[in-house]
Amino acid sequence: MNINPRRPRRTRILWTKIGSGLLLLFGIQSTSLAGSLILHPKELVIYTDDRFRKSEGLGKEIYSLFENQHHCRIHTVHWGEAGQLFDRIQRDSQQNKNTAHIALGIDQFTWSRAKIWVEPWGDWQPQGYSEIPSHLKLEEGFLPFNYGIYAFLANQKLLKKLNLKIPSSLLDLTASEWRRNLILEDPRTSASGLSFLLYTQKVLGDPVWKFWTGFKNQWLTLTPGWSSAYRLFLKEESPLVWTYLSSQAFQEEKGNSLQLDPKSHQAIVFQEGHPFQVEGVILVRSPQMTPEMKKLAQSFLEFLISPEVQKRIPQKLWVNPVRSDVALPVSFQHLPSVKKLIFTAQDSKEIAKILHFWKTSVYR
Amino acid sequence: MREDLKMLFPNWLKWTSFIWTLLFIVFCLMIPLSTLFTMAFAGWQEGSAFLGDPLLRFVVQSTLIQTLLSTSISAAIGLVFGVWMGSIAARNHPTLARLLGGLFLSIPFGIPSIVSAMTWVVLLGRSGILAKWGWELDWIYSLKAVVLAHVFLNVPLVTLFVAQARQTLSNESLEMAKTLGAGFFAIYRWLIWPKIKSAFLISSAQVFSLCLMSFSLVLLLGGGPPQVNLETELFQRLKIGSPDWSGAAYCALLELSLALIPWLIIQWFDGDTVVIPLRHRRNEKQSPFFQNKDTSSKFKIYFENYFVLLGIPLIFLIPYSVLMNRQNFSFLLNPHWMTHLILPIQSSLFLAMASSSATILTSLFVMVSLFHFRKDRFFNPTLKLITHIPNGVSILVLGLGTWFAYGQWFDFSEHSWIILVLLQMTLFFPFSFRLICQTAREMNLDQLEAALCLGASPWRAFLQVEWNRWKAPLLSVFSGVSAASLGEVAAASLFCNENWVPLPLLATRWMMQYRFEEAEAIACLLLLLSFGMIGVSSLSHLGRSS
Repeated sequence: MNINPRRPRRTRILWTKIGSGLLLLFGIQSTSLAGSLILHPKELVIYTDDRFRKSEGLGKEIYSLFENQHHCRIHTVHWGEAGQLFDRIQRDSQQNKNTAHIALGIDQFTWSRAKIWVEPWGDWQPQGYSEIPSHLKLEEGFLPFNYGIYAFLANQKLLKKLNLKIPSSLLDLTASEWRRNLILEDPRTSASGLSFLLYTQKVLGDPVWKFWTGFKNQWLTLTPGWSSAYRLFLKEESPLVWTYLSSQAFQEEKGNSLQLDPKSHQAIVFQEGHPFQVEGVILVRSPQMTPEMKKLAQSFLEFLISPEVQKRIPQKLWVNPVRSDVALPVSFQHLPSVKKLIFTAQDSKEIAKILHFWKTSVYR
Repeated sequence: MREDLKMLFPNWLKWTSFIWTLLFIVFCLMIPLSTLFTMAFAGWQEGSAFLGDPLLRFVVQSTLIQTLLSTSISAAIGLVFGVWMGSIAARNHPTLARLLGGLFLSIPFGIPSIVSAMTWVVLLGRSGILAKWGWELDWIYSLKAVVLAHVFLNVPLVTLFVAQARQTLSNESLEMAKTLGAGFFAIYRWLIWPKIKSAFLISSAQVFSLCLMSFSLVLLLGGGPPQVNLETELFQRLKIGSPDWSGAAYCALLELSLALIPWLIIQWFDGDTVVIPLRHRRNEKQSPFFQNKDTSSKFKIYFENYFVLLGIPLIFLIPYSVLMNRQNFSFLLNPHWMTHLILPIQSSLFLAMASSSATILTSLFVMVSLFHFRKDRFFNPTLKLITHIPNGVSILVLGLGTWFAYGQWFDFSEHSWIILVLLQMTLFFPFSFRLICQTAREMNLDQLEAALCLGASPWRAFLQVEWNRWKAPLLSVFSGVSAASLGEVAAASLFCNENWVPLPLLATRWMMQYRFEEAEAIACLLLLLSFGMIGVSSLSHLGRSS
């Protein structure tokens, strides 16, 4: 047997090294986690999606502003999807646990499911609510915060290269020259993809399923979300992408930094009109909500539609503020005007039915 | 194993192993899966209608087409390359090229699927590299792209397994057969096939499961319907407004049943070989007559070493080199940019190391339990059967079951890392368990017994006799699981929170903020980290072998 007396010592040293490495790593991690669990006496809990994180983007600016103004702390809990968010609220309620005071990022497609968790406004009406146009208001309890109009964005350089003309109608896209020349989002996984499906259903009526059976050859890909669609579009995979009308403003302001011609991207206006997404915020109903916290949550809602926050929306979220009295950046003033907004289906059961018909048309 | 070797496992270890194994089976597998299936079976009326749904039939059909195509192509290519490389490796002395070839074949296991998807878009896309070179295949966003990506990820796995099994066949046997007049097919049928059969079947079954449960590649390269599979269908049923929980549970049940079919067939026909060798020790000694009897020309030796043993594995890594471009490196070399990544890198590395440590520990404990209960007519076969289940469970299925089972008691938003470690541990358990079991089978029992008889403590006997042999497989499992965990995105997106953002999730978030170049740089960083993880362990092994 080869018994080397030095081996165990070496092994011990190796294990000590591995152990200290792991301890260090666990230690650092526990410290960072522990930091997040320290509770503030006046802590406003917000359930939201990734775009409103506290550490970056719009969240980074506005949360600290509100914390300083109201001497409180904001704690955000992030959920990837509205489904997960509602599931969490439901579980909190079943277990009689403290739930969020506010849910941020509900839109008209998820509103019908959110209704049961909404704390009614009662006599209170948010300050500035009257400045919001009526077509953006859904029902009492839903405070609109921003909205985006959906449209196709065209890469004019690529259109020219492929010898394609800018379409003026939805039905123009069914022509053979558009085959594999569009990027859309999947309606089963993305709000923008769903808006396109609901838009076609509203605009085309009954023949819509025939339209989709043929239309499935037209898209290059149905991406799982808006971000991957837009990324492919910027990589010039296709001349058209289904996105926000305001993406044109983004390209105009940020095109140079992306090494793209700022003027080469144009939002296309269709004669049929355009669908839109209104994103809002709700007060979450909870037996644990104290009058003091309710007041703080109401102040936060008012803060979100204050000019101070609304003016930041265009260049942070690249969508429109809901207040009509907020000045827009120049790039937003260059956007083509949409004459007609299309109000699509909003009820979750109706949406589920439409999705089922859509699957029947394209799963073949 | 002999009875006296029981001394190696003291009572405390026996009972710790048993309790750990039981906890693993009950809390990580049984409770999440049974919760999921209880949900599916609760409304059986609805379920029978669901199973008759033509849409679901289409999804199952599409899943099977993608999976069978990807598996059969990967298995066929892997078999040819594996036999070829194995026969050359068996003839020649180990060379640096051969050892590097083995390292390259193990790297694709650690390549995150999201990185693989990004790579194929950069290569095959309409504005991709091949199109710029004038080779417009237009394969992207179709079944062809999905199959191609699967093949590139999985051929190395089959090749590696088959080559290592083929190496165990001595040249002496082959020469004898030739001398006796056996032809090529007779040699293959009676000598080579029996040696490689179980390695080939098991690696093919593994590829079948991986392709069946493929998520990111089908989602990002398939281009949407009609390219769907059960995993993407399950994912889509949980999205948008009102999630269809029972529909998702049915998809999970179907997926699990399909993924387990090849494993059950193999277990039925070839039960004892399910634990497969990843690194065989030569078990047939060559006679001095056949040793070093290489009369090949210099050209042939160079061809075999550099073109076959090194070149073939490299083919499967070349596509990923497109992410190693100047733009991505300019981000990675920018200290200001990298400061934003400190916490995500730390989270990713912590998760990778915690998952791999937990996986190794669980595999060791399950192995010890199997040894102790090897004569138990109920526990032993049951445990063997249960260890197959993780082969057919995808992270989405397990994540969904965990969500349902523990959601009411456990706050996922605050302790997400624990749940992520448990999920990844269960997911990577089969790989780790197989390698560790094989190492255990090759234990040097005579020397261990002698050491124990001479009065050495079990711990000291193990350290002196076995530890050197165990280091390499343990390091391989540690690095392989760490690399795979680094790129895992499905569980991370289900259970992560503000304070816990691993790199793949950060890449997805940045894409949502129009930060596409930076997201691609993260993909490049993930690739480098995966290469590093596997490279370091393989090179340390390579150093010892040299």
